[in-house]
Amino acid sequence: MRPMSGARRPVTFVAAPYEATASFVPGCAFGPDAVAEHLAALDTDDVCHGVGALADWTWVEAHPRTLHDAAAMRREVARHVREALAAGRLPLVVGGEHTVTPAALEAWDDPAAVTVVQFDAHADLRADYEGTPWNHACAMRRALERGHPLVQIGIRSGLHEELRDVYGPGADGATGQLERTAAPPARLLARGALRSRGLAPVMPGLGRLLYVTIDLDALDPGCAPGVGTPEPDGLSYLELLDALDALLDGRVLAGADVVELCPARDDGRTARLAARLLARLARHG
Amino acid sequence: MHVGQFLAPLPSVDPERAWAVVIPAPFDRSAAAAPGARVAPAEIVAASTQVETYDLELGRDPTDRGLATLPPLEFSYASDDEALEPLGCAVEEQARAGRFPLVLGGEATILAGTARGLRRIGETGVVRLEGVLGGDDAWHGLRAAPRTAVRRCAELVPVRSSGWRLASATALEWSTLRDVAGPPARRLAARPSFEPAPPEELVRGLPEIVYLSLDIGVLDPAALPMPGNLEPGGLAYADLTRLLDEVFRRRRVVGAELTGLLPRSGDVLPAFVAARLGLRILALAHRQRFPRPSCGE
Repeated sequence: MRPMSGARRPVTFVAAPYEATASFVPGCAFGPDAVAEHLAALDTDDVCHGVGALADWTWVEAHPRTLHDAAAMRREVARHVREALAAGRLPLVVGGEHTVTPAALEAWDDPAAVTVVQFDAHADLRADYEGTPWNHACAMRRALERGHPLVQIGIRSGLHEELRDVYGPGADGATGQLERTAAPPARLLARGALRSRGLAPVMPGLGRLLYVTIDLDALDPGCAPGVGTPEPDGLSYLELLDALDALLDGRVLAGADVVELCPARDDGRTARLAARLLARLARHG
Repeated sequence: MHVGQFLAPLPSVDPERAWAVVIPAPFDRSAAAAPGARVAPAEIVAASTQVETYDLELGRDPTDRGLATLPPLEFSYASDDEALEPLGCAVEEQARAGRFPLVLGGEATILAGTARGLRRIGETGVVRLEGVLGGDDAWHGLRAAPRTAVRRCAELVPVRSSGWRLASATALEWSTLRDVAGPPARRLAARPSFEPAPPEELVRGLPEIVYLSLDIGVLDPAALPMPGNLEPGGLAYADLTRLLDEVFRRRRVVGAELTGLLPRSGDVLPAFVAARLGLRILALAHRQRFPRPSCGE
């Protein structure tokens, strides 16, 4: 892995239109198509968003949209991410549901070295949901089980049970921040705590290598209405950019994903925002 | 075309007796995203009839002392910014008569016409707020387009553009060299743990008298969901009203324009946002023109 100084790595977008467990509004299998359309529509002459970072990129389809088998999805997504890494490219996964994140993480053989930074409205820490551990409500639990340190930011929805499972029996969501000291470590910064305390509570939980996963419902439904399970009081786009810049300052982006885009609920602004986020992440190649 | 009366003041006011006049300018030639700016003045006026005329935050009713709405301007198909001359004449006429003109666009290009009138008035600068920095010299061969409006304006009067979140490399380079580029949206939008750019940055280098040019695309899609306004990272409504207040506190504003609305079929929100902004601009101008005596005076 190359440090941030010097030339940027080229980018491989890994489209993962997996949708098998969406629990409310379906449609995220069409997310990659919408993102691709808006990536192509970005103003390449613009200097505000760093679109120039996309000068060298490829787009690969990890699997067909009709795939509903979790094991096959995991195998194909991990394979494409692994191939991108082997070629010295930055893998940026485009979901699909959040289940594609633990699949992508399987490309790294040393999970303890890659901290997962999750922006999300939901904790996604359930052991299983609706009869399967490969449900989008379980994505971060699977990441922890692999051994990845975890930092959760902007969370505003979760079961007490799943929080107790991960953060201990005394976990009290009202504090706005939770910490797990057992390996692998984890920290949770709720939406309100992010607003009042900034990122300081989670910075000690970051390693040098980061995998950033952005569930678009982390953002406020006003700026990102096109998600299947919207939650009020999310981050603004600029808050998210500020956070990404702070988290990645002096660290290396191992890979990233943007997931849970639901074009059926979108008027274009969420897909455009997702494309902008991916372009922004590409700057950290 | 008849568009009605902005804020529907009753009884109807003779423009000669009004302190402010609304000028519909349905100019719609070169917008990149989608057509529709030609119906924007009528949509804004229609929405304004459902907006309460008293601005609660400022404690002002701009229909107090007379607010009139003129018939829509008509534009020829003369080449480029020549076609906008009627707007320059209208703004000049109203400003010289001491009335506050509020122009309802129309695409953001109309600043190129406004600037013609301001040039003749003299000693007037332009505070511009827009989503895309209009500093390009040409756009697809056109000298007059939203992306060139600031450049055309700067050829005639001093202008400073802020709040943008898209800019071509050439537009930014030219605007920076000429000190036309004010802070982008990312430096102006309030958010936790962030200190926005000082408001003085919006008017730096401009004369004491200014005209306000507001391209409504400066707002984030969350605040203004409409065709052609998909780029994230714009200003929140509260950001924008705060900045408008700061401009009026720092300069004498002799007129304003509200441009760039693209009405969306079946959704009245964009037109209502524009109508509310029109009310706010008029209320700010009213406060500036008719200051109330402070306690003890």
